[in-house]
Amino acid sequence: MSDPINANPTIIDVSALPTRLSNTEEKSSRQQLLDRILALSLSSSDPELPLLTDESSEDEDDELEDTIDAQEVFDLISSISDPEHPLTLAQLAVVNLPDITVTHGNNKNELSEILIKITPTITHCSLATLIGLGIRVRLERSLPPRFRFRILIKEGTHQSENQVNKQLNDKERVAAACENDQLLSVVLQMLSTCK
Amino acid sequence: MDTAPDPAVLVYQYIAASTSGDSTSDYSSQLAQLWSGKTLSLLQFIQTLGPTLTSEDVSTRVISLQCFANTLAEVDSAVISKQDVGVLLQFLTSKLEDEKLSSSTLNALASLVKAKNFIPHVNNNLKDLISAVIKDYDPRKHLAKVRYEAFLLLEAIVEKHQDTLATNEEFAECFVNAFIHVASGEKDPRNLLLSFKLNAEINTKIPFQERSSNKTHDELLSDLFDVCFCYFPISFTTPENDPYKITALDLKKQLRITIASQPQFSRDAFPSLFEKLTSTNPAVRNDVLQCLLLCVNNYPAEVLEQYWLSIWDALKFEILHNDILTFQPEADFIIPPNYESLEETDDNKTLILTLVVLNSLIQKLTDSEMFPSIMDTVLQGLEANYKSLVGKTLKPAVLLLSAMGSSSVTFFNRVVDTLFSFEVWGHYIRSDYQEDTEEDKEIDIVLTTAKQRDLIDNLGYVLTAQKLLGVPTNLEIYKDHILIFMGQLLQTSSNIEKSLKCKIVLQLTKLVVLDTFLSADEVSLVLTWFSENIKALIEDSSAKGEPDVLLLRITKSLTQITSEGPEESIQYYINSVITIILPPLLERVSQPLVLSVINQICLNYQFLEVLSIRYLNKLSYEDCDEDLSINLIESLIFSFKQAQSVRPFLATSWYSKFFPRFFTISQKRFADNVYLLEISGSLLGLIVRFCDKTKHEQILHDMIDLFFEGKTLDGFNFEFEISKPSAKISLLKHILANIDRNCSISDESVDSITKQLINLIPNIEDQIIRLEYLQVLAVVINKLAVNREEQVEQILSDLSPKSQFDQSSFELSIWIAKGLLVRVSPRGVAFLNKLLLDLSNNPDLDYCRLILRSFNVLAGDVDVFSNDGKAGKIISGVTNLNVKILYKQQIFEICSPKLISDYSSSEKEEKSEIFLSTLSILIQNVSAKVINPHLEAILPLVLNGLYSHNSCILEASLQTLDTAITQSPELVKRDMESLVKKLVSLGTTKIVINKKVVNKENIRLLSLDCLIKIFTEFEEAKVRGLQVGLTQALAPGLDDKKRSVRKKTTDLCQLLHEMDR
Repeated sequence: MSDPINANPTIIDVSALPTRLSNTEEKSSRQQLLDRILALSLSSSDPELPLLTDESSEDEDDELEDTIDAQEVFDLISSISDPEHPLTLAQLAVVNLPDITVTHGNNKNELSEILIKITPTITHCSLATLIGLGIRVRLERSLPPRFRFRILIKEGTHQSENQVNKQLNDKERVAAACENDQLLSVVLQMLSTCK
Repeated sequence: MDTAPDPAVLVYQYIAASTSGDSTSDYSSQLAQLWSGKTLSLLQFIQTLGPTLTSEDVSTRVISLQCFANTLAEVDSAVISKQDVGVLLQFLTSKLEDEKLSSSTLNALASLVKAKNFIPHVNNNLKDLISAVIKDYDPRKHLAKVRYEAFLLLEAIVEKHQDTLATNEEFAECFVNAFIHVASGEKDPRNLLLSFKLNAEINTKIPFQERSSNKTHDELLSDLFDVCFCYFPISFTTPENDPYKITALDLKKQLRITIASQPQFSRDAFPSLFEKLTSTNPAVRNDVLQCLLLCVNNYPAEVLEQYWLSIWDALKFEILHNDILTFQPEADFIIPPNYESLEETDDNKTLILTLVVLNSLIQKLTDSEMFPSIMDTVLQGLEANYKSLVGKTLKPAVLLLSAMGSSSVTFFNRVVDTLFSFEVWGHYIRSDYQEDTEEDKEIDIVLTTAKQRDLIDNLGYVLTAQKLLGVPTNLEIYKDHILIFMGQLLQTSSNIEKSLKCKIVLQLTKLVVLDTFLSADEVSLVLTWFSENIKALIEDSSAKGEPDVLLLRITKSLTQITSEGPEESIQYYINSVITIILPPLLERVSQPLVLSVINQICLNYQFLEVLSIRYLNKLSYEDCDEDLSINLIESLIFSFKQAQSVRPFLATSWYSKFFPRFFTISQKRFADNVYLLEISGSLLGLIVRFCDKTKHEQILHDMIDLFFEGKTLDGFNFEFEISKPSAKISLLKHILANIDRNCSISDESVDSITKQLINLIPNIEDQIIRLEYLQVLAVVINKLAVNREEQVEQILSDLSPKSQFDQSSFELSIWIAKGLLVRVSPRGVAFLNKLLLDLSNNPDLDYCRLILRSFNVLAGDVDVFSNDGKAGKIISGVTNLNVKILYKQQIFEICSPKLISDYSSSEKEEKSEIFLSTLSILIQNVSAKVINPHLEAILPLVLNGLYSHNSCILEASLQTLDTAITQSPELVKRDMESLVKKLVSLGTTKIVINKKVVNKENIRLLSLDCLIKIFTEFEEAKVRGLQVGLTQALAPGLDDKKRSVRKKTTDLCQLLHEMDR
């Protein structure tokens, strides 16, 4: 492979990244032990019995909704690998939580939009378009079809900002890129580390 | 008696069979028998063969001679007289002229050579034979198969007549000429293998004169060398259809042996090998080095004296100018053991082999008169490299010297004296160095950290060599200097220099474990340095919240010091660790990480004993808070188990000292703390299990006295009333669970204890405490009430619900039954059957659900009936569990058929749900082996259950399916397509009944989990095609209301996309 464009990037420690994944804290050994004992109890721990009652509720169903928010989008794309370093986009601060905006439609039948601004590690990064493509493929695969994505270069972080922005959001060019087997295999390589 | 067969008939039969391609061996054997039995003379035989032997038809001639050769191979050679030999030799050598017959002729000659009466001198037999071969056999005219016969003939001669060849120079020269004639231009691998072997045999068996004094021999040796070395290096791939399966390695090895078999080859071999060493192909270089190694090992020292310089010059650059990362300064070896298993194409193998060759060279020459001058040359040659601390070649040079030093004490001493002289490392390392002259000031005395690191690494190589030598050397002269140098560096270097400090710790550790190298005081000194670093690091790491690399390094070194080496030194080291390292650690136990350091270094009984006493003192202080107490107890449990696993010990003495004190402290100080009492109990239980078996009866009685009789005991300061529920019961639970199963108490006691427990338990409100009492009850029933079956049965029947249902009695009976079932008592089984009957017949759904939940207890793992760690005999001889290994299987075998049939015939959905859920609980608790035979019967229920609109049934079905996918994939895969479809719909689309979601979040997750399992656990071939269109089908899941479901769907999609690649 040719020399990396940015051979010495700044790296953020994984543990310092905002995430919702694995935030469910591990139970202390103490709680585990007590739980193990309590599991032997015959008293029912599940208050939801009895079943099949005819209770009616207003809603279509009785579940509360967790709306798709910026954190969720960040978690989806943060673990994408950088094409030239063995690091993730979040570790390199290419994607940052504050640079993600989710605009929901009024209901699930209307379009929603996600705007992501990416920060290239250096201003002449030629891989910005590839990174953008990777993010787009990941989101298209992971979010419902009602979402539209706009991926832009963060203002003032790239020499040819407008050009890259155009390329990133040009449907035809994205579609053409996805037809290119070699390009696609690089993208898949980037996505293979997704958590 | 049968008349003997007619030879003529046999010959014709042979010819006929051979022509039609049938087996001919039968006929030649019969001919050989006739000949051996003297029924047939040689003359008669030849006469019989006569017409065919001279036939115009080539194929007839060939078959005829073949018949002769085969017969000759089998005949008893005693019947062939000396005269016969002469006749046959003449006959056969004349046949050599007939090219078509060569194969059989050579074969027959080989048999003839082996004959008893073939005497080389008589009638000039051997010479005639060899001359004929040289004259009339031209290898270039024949196929590999025929050439093979020629080699076999030569092999037969060497085997049979090696003494003649060794003593008769004329014969020997003649034979070597024949070999060179036969072997020249050979290409077939099988023939080559034999050619190399014969060449080596010639070299070892025939005494050649000094080349310079005997021109003939000189030429012969040159030819012998050429006829083998021309193949070097061999690159060969075994053809696929090769019947002999000869590999490149076979050929390479034999060729190396051949080259190394003749010291007089050295003149040609060394230069040729060095030339090949310039190859860029590592496989070739490794081949060269292995050949060189064999030569060095086989050639006598006199030859090596002549060539050592050229070998050294050719090899040293391999190390000097290469990356030598593979040689770790901290390792215990320079040449890695089992380096031979490295790939032939590995560049590192080249480096290692280079050192191995040099090692052998030094070993061979160490007694030579030339050795001092050899050492001079080597050291002077490398002077520029090792003298400069800046150059890149310093480390390789020291590696070379250390590696060579590791095979000769003389060499090592010389190396050490040179390296530690003031001109080299002395002025950095030696404390007796005085900079008083002006010139000295010009030398750069200041070592940068990078140079310090290099210096420590280089010292490491020297120490490794010392370790490998294992005898006293001059290194002892510089011992103090080295020690002080490293010690000062460790103390004074900045804390940021982790890698330097780690390197120092590694080398100091190496010094400590160098047998008898350091004195006791010196070891203590090293440990003090370690201790001081630990103290500083603990503060540091505690602030950071994670262990420091240096701390980990030192901890590891301490475990190494206290576990490696001879017993006496270890004892001493352990004592030193206890007196030097442990006290400052104990002062800091409240700091995080300290306990983990202690846990790691507690590897033996002595340490553990000290630790237990110190911990106990800490625990007894009021200022030892709950968290610290928990940490201390957990640390002690860990250390106990660890020390036990390193070397088993008896804890009998602990029962009289540690046990009562700890018992008293824990129940006094933490009277209400369930968790603390629980872990205290585990520690006490652990100690009991490792007390000698003979002590157990007493322990049991003591405990009964303490807990049930209200008695006081010496050492135990304990107040307990069995009529009042208390968390202290956890202590008893663990102790009883670990008492040997053969201990007993009187029947009256058993009855009274059972009664007291049964009366008390229903009144205990706290769930956890009640469960602790219930477990005690189960253990009592299980181990102590073995002879009270009838009474227990009575209790069970008294407890059985009469008209009104009573949950606490039911719970009691379940636990009593658990005690019975684990030892597969018939009464326990009867209870189980009754329970199953109730489950299917009782219309009270609440009661049925209670039964359902009781299977968590009946089939589940309960601490008191299982030991953690590996099973098997322990040192105390105690068998604490009274548990039949197959009890779960028994429960499962009883329950599953009944539950399956109940489910199939059930009409009410609620009941079906209960049957299926019960089955699911059983499946989750029983090992795969037990379930497997039943899965076929269970699976239809499960698959059926997936179509239910009842959450509980769905959940139970999915859980069972999950188990089935892992454990019995063959069964699941039968109906994969519809299963996948169903799981997708369960995972992504909601089933809403009465405005309530049936497939709740956890069910959707379970379905997706099952799908992920299907696509990860099954071989790709089995699921290929199933993923087509699945990502589209899963799309609704991406918009699920629950984030966890969306996430899992994304994971599954990602997995499917990756499969598509």
